[in-house]
Amino acid sequence: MEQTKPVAIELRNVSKTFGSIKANKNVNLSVYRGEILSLLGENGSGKTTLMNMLSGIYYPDTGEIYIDGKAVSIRSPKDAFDHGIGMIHQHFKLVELFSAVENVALAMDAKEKYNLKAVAAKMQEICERYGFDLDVNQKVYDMTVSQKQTLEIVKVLYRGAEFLILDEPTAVLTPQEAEKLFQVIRNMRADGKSVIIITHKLHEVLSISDRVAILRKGEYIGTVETKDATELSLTEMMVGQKVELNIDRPMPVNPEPRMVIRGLTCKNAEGVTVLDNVSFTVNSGEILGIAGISGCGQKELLEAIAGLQSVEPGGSILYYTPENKKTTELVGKSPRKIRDLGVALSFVPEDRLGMGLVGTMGMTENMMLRYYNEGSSIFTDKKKPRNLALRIKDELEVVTPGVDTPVRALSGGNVQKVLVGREIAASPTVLMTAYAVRGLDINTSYTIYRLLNEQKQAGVAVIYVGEDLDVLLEISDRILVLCAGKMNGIVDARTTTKSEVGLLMTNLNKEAQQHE
Amino acid sequence: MSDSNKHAAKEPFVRIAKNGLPSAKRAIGVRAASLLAALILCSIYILIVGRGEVSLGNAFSQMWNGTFGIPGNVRSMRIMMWDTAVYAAKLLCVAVALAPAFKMKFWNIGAEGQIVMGGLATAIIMHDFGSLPKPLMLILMIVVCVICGAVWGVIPAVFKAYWGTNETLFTLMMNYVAMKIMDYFYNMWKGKLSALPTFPKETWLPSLFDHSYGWNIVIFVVLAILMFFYLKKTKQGYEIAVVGDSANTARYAGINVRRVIIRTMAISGAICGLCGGLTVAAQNHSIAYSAEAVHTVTSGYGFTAIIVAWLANFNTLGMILISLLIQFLEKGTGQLGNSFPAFAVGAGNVMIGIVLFCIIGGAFFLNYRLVFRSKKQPKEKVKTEVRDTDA
Repeated sequence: MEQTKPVAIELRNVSKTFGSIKANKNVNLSVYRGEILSLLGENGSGKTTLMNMLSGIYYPDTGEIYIDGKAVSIRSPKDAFDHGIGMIHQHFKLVELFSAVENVALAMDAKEKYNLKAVAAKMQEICERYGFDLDVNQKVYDMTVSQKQTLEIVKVLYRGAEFLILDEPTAVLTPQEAEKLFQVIRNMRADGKSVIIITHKLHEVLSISDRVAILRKGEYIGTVETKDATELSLTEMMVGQKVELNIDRPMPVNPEPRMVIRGLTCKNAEGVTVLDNVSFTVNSGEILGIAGISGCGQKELLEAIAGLQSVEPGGSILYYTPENKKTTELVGKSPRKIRDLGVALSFVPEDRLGMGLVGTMGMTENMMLRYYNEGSSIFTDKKKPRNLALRIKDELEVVTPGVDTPVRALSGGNVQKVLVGREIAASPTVLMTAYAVRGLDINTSYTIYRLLNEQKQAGVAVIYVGEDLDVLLEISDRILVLCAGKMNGIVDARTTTKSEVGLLMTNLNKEAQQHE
Repeated sequence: MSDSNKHAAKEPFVRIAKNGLPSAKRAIGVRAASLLAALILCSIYILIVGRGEVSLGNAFSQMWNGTFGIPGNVRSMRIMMWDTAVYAAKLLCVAVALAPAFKMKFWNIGAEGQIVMGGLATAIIMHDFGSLPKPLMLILMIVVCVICGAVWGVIPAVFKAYWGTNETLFTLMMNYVAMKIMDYFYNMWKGKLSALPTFPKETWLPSLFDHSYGWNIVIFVVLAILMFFYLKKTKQGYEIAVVGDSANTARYAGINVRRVIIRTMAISGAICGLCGGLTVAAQNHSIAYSAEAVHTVTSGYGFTAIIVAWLANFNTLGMILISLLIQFLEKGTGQLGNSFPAFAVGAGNVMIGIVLFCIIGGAFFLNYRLVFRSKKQPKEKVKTEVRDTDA
């Protein structure tokens, strides 16, 4: 190995645990001076946690950090700065009402004299040296996302950072802006700075970095020279070998279209297209898996079907009633309207306590969420929901002191049992689940898989949005892969491979994939 | 010393840890301890300010007399208790009005304004429509005061529901608009007189229990009971609770969040308006200039009720007790000030502050506990520390 560049930062056996979740397990990582290192991994692989330990936001449970060969202890962002480490977070930390120069001046030492002119001059000098395009007197609220990011980087450089960590810097940028950012990053490398980029976009990794370090499920997998890597080899390291989970997968019995989705496009509150012209069919009696890096339109897709997300003109969601095949258009209807039309749609949303359940209420009152409005009385009927709550508590073995204990006091697995139990009890014809087993222990996860399979065998069309590819490959009949809001293919889950789905997720075009 | 020693982690002496859900036993214990602490702190305050010339027994019995009358003296007891009852009922009514809004996490700081609008509407009826047949006039009076209060509550609700404005600031500002509108009428009616005389007796609400304000007490207490069932047992009450916990969950459940916000604030404002209307028609028989704080339509209860609502945890039956407690503090310390010059100014506010501080501060211990650094350190750590001091 050509090791002309000296090791600047070294992490040795660093571990960090949050509750029962091991975010990082004995991670070893070294960063050279004057290099661009990509940190690659799926969602939840521990990239951000690891970098937060370098930037002083978290403190490692075990393990050591060395800078220039000396053991250091980074207990706060200030310590990190003293060691020349600066991190640019995904969510910018700027004062909107201040100008660029005032934001940078906030970072001054208490001993420094408050002199905006001097700060501005030094900022100008940094901008010229690295090729930043920044108006130092512009107010932050007038800035584009790209300008805000530039300001964050200049702020960090102003404070004398030698090591810059960028957390998914291109997620919010247009391709042109991203290219501009990369040019600046290359200039910084030429100046001897080390840059760590957290990302899961493979083509960016290949185009900018010198080396790639890969994490998977909190574990350090390895570091490779970018010139020796291909998208395929990186994907394989990222997703790993197939793990056998032995989840049941009965064959679908007489599948028939239950929902036909055509040309679905959604925009988020900022007007950005998050779901782009997606078309597919959901069949009864089968589990349709939806794979994708998080934030690729999964949430919007499910919420659009549930009537919670507005759809751009031209999109269509046709629901076929099981008995008579009568079609109902769901686009443009509120959740209540959809329910009143007799569409038996159940939805287990990603945000369990923020959307699916009322955290301050007990199981009984949470059961009411679906039924409270039935009947003409102005009073609520608690008897039926109470019986349902007791039944779910028994059948799914929900651990709770009682059906009136606020559900936010329950553990994540029990909260999910309450939610899934309620949605299944509504005898749906379509059941949508988003990250149904996220954060759950093995036993509860298998309970959920069993429940989903029971629904499938009862003829329900199940949509399973997941993040764990092993699970998706074993439980789904078909897998739809979303990439940056676009549909990147539907594959047969019985015959596909992990790396095929992985490549579709990270946007390798189809021709190249059929090539190999 | 090396740099790493300086940064060596040291557990803080005391840290805050989150508790699970408080048990009923713990909840009662914490409340009792809070009140005891308040009593002790108030006693210390009385002893210090009274410079030993005012005994504790004497002070507290004065407070008792100021609220419930002199024990054994029937006339004094009757006067004091009725007076306490009517003000406690009024405070209760405003707190009851706030309950649904607060339960929905809509921070209605605008009860003052809503009360004023209701009171003003009633005053206009009494001033200009006094010649109508009495039953008709009374009905008209109640209807307009309820509508005016509701409108004053709905305006900020509409802005919140459709444009996401901040309801706290909006409702607060609406108070001052309402007060200035009332001042306009006050000055117009007053003309060249030094103060506005009371409205003619024919326009007053009929008496009950020999008191012109008798009906107020009955109506306000009944409202508290109705509101309790409205929030606990009805579908609308359930919708309010869901919206208050998470608007997203409400949307998911098919609840029309905007409609719930507007409807709930209409109810909140309407009850405030009724409170203002009945205060003018049955108790004050007049309106006052907004700068004369004591005799205004609201008595400042639009703000005091916020404390009542929170202390009762939005339980409208619990508010009955809290309203009485606040009355005891207000009137009792007023009497204390009359009896002992040392407590003439500000003593009431100090003691109310102490009690509120203890009760609200005590609530912290329902959800959190303090963990003190244990003396036993893991053995390894102790060793390294010893070595460090040696070096």
